[in-house]
Amino acid sequence: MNLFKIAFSNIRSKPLNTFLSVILLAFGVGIISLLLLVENQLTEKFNRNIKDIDFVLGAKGSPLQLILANVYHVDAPTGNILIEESRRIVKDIMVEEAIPLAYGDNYESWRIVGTNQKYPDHYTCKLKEGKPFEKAFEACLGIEVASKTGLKLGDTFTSMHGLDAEEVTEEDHHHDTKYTVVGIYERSESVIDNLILTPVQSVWLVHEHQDEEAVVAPIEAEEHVHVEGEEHDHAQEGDHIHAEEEDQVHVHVEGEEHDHAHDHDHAHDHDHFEMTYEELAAEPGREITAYLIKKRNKGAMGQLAKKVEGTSMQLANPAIEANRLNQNFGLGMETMQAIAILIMALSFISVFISLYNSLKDRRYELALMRTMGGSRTSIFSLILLEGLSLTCIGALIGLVLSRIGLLILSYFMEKNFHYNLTDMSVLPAEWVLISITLGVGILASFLPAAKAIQIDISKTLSNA
Amino acid sequence: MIKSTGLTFQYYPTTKFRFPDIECQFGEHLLLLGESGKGKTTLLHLLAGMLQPSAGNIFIGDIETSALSGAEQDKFRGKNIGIVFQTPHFVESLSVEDNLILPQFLTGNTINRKKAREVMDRLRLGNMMHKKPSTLSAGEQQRVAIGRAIMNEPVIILADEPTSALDDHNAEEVIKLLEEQAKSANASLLIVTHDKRLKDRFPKSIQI
Repeated sequence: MNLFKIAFSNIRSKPLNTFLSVILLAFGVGIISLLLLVENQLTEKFNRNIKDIDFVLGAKGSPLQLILANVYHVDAPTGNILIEESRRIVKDIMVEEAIPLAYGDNYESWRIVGTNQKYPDHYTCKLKEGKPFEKAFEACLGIEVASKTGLKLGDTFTSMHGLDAEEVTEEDHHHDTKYTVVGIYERSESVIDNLILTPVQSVWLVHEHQDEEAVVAPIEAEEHVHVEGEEHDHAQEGDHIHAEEEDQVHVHVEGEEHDHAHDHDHAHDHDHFEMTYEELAAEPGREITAYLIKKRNKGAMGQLAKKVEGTSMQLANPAIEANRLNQNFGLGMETMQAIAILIMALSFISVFISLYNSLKDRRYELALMRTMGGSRTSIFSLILLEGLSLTCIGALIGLVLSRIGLLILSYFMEKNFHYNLTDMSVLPAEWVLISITLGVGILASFLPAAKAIQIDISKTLSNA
Repeated sequence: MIKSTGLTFQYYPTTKFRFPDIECQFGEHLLLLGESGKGKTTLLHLLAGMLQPSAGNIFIGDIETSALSGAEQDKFRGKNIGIVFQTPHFVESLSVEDNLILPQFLTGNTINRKKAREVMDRLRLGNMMHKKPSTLSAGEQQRVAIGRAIMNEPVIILADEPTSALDDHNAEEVIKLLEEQAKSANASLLIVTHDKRLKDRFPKSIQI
């Protein structure tokens, strides 16, 4: 027997009141702590991914989309830009570093990004095993990709058109050229974890037969067969071929290449696969999706922005766009927060009312406890404990609810964006939240407790 | 021994209760008789230290309880006085057993569940230990209340109209129990009542 046991029996003997107080509190605490968790983890992820990227150079369109697609890898790119055109910016004296990004394919919905070694280096992403990608069709996998797809060093895979598996049309739009896994990165908690990196050449070569738009949006599904012998020529001509001419090209290719498709693996040995980025990039009409740019000094923005004017390109600032996103997102967060605080306020009122009301029914037993030797302190503590127990249970359930919410959210984020939010540890802000909750809980039970010790035991018991 | 001299109590300036002096040795039984409105319950609350007299003194043993502070009186009462009220009250959320050990807990005595079991057996309520008090009949509840009053082995048992709400059979049983329990604890038993049925049972009575 102790005061806690009595307090607990008391709140248990009024299940409906208890349920109401606890459930209100649990939802209030749950929503706020979920918001805190999501905000914290998203902000952390967002900021980590922006890391030192001053601008993104890409095709005109929504700057936010450009950032989302190329920094966070969650949206479709705005289109492609010509290397020739971009060179004016990229080679500018103001640019300290420019990391190329080329999109087009995925493997089981994991994005394949054509880039160079600077990209993993930028996120200080180290190899866990294997070697860095160097030649075309060598690929290094992010840790998430490796663990979810089960691909290992030395495995080969074929890419699929588009950025997500869903975009693939009825007939699977496979490319036949096989990528080889040469490396797997350590976890870096950056976007790299969810990407397949390969030299830019791979992305160019795999799309050799296709019309430019195909790099971004998948076209009518059709088996594209790589043509070893003629590949080089096509590479040079291919980009100039207009859409209408494409069919003609296909007829020409497929007619004679059916058999060759089998010994396709030998393609890697072939000359043009050995061509360097510079050699291929020098070919006219080469395209790339975006550059991540680090500026050399503060004045760079104005100067570079002027250079971009009048072209089909744009420069977007990730910090500004992320901030804009946060503001829109933040508005929703604030509304949710306001609702949660309201729910919590209701729950405290509910705790207060249920304690206060119960005093009416319990004044005999409280007076009785006094006649049996119970001190005022004991009675006061008892009522406080009851309020505190309600608050504690509510807060605890709230924390559990927020974790469940986070898991559900993480499941959908993971499915749609390969983003996961699985850090379940209690944030410092949550400790503050819990402390405030318990504090207000004590406050809500203070008045009933003070009232309880003022009961006139003689009067109460003689009116019985 | 419990003794009071020159006790008066005033609720309002117009109503003033003046009580006859009382003296009752340990082991003795004393009936305090009076009609409604004569201040019977007030006297009992004064003796129990639940009210402070306007004038006069109360001694229990060698201690002048009327001179103790409120908190000291609470403590003294818990350890030395068992009170049985007209209508029994319990902490409804606790079982009969827990209600019985509540006086031990509240006074800081060691909790003795064996004793609770013995008392309940003596009251022939041994099978009610784990029930909620509200599920017991009025007579059973009054018996549990008596059991609870003696859990701390008080030197004085004060009973306020313990039988007035009960039928003859239950009243008889309750009185018998009170006498037995007082005897086994060698406590003074003071019963405040207007119940005529009790008059003949107790040789010593005081009219208020």
